[in-house]
Amino acid sequence: MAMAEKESPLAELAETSGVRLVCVFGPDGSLLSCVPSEMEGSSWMEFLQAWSGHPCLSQPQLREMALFYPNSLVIWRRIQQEKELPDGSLGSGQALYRNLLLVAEPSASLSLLRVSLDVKEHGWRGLGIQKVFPSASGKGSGGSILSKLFRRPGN
Amino acid sequence: MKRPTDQGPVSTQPETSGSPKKGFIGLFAGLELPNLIQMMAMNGFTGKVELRCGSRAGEIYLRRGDIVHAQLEDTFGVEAFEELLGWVEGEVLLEADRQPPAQTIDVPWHALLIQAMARIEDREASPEKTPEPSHGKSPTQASELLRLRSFHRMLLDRPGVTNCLVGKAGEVICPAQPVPKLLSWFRIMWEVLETSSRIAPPEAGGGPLMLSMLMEGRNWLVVPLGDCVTAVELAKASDLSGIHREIVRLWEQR
Repeated sequence: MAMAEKESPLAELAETSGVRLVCVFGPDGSLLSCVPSEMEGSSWMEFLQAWSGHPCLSQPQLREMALFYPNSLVIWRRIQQEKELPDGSLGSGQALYRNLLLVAEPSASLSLLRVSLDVKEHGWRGLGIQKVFPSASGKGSGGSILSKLFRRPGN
Repeated sequence: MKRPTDQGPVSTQPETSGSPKKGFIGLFAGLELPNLIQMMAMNGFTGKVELRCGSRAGEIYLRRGDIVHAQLEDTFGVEAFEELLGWVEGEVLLEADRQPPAQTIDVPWHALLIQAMARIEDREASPEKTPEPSHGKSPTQASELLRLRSFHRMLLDRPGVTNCLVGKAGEVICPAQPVPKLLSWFRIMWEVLETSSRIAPPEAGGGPLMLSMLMEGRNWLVVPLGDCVTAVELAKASDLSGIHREIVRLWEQR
C-alpha cells in the first residue's frame, strides 16, 4: 500500500480480511477517498459511483445495505452526523453525510465488517465527518448549497 | 394483482335484530371466493359466509380463522367446502360472530384451501368437465396466490422471522393489506434489488442472491425468487445464510 493510502482514513478498513475496495463519496456523488487507489478506473468504481448517487440511497429510513453477489459482497452505509460540533461547523437540524461503499470477497463476514465499520464510524464522527472526508471543493461542511448559504452567525 | 379493496363494492350495515351478537352483515360482488376465504382465515374471522348461486345455497363457518363447518344442501364438511369453492359466480353474505351449528371440518385452513384448489384444477383439466362461465382470475392463478400465501405463512411461523412480505413488480401480494409504511419499504427494496441486478459489473458473477437492509434500525433480508421477491424482518444476530437457504427451500417446495 502506498504512503498516501496508509494515511487515508479508509486504510485500516481496506486491510480487513476479505476487503478488496473501500470508497467514500460525497452527497453530490464526488469521490472523496478510495483505497486501493489503483481501483479508481475499474468497473467496480463505476458501479459504486452509480450507487452513490442513486435516489434509493437518499431515503432517510435506509441506513445500510449489503448486496450478496455470487462473487462479491458489497456494503453501502450512510455515515451521518447530525450533532453540532464544538466549532459550530454544523448547525443544529442539519444532517451531514457521506456514502461509504465497500467491496469484499463473497466469503467475508458481514457481521465482522459491520463491527469494523461501527468502530471506524464512531471515530470519524468524533473527529467530524467533514474533516475526515472533506468535500470535493475542500471547503465547509460539504452539505447542501443551502447549508452553505445559511450558516449560523459567527461561523 | 387484485387487492381486497379492488374486489367490488362493499356495503355494511348494523346487524339486524335476532342475531346472536353485535357484528356486521356485508354484501360483496365481483370477488373470487378462494381469495375471500383466504383473507378471512388470515384475519382470524369468526362467523358465517353464506353463498347463493341461482336456486342453490350453501354456507361456510369460520372460528378465529379456522374453517370449521361447510354445508351445501345435504352435503357437509370438506366435500361441501370444495364444491362451494368451485363456484365462480353468485352472492356472498357475511355474518360476523355467528357460531357454527356443528363442526364438520378439522383440517388447517391453508391445507384445506390448497387441497380444494388442486381438486378444482383437476376438474378443470379433466375432459368431462362442465363448462362454466369465466369470471375473474382462472383457478390456476387463484391457486398460485394460495401457494404464495401458504409460503408467506410458513415464513412467518419460522423462529426469528418477525415480519414477512411477498410481492411482485414492487407490489406486495402477501399480506393482503400491508401497512402503508411496509408497502413503501417494499418498493424501496424492490428498486434496490432491480438496480443492483441491472448495474452489476461482470466481476459480481450475476445478480444478487440476497440483500440485507437496515431500515429504521430494523434488519430485513430480501431474496429474489423468480419474478417474486420475499422480504423478511429478522431478529438481531440472525444467520442470514441459513435463513436464505430456508427461504429458497420453502419456495421450491411450495
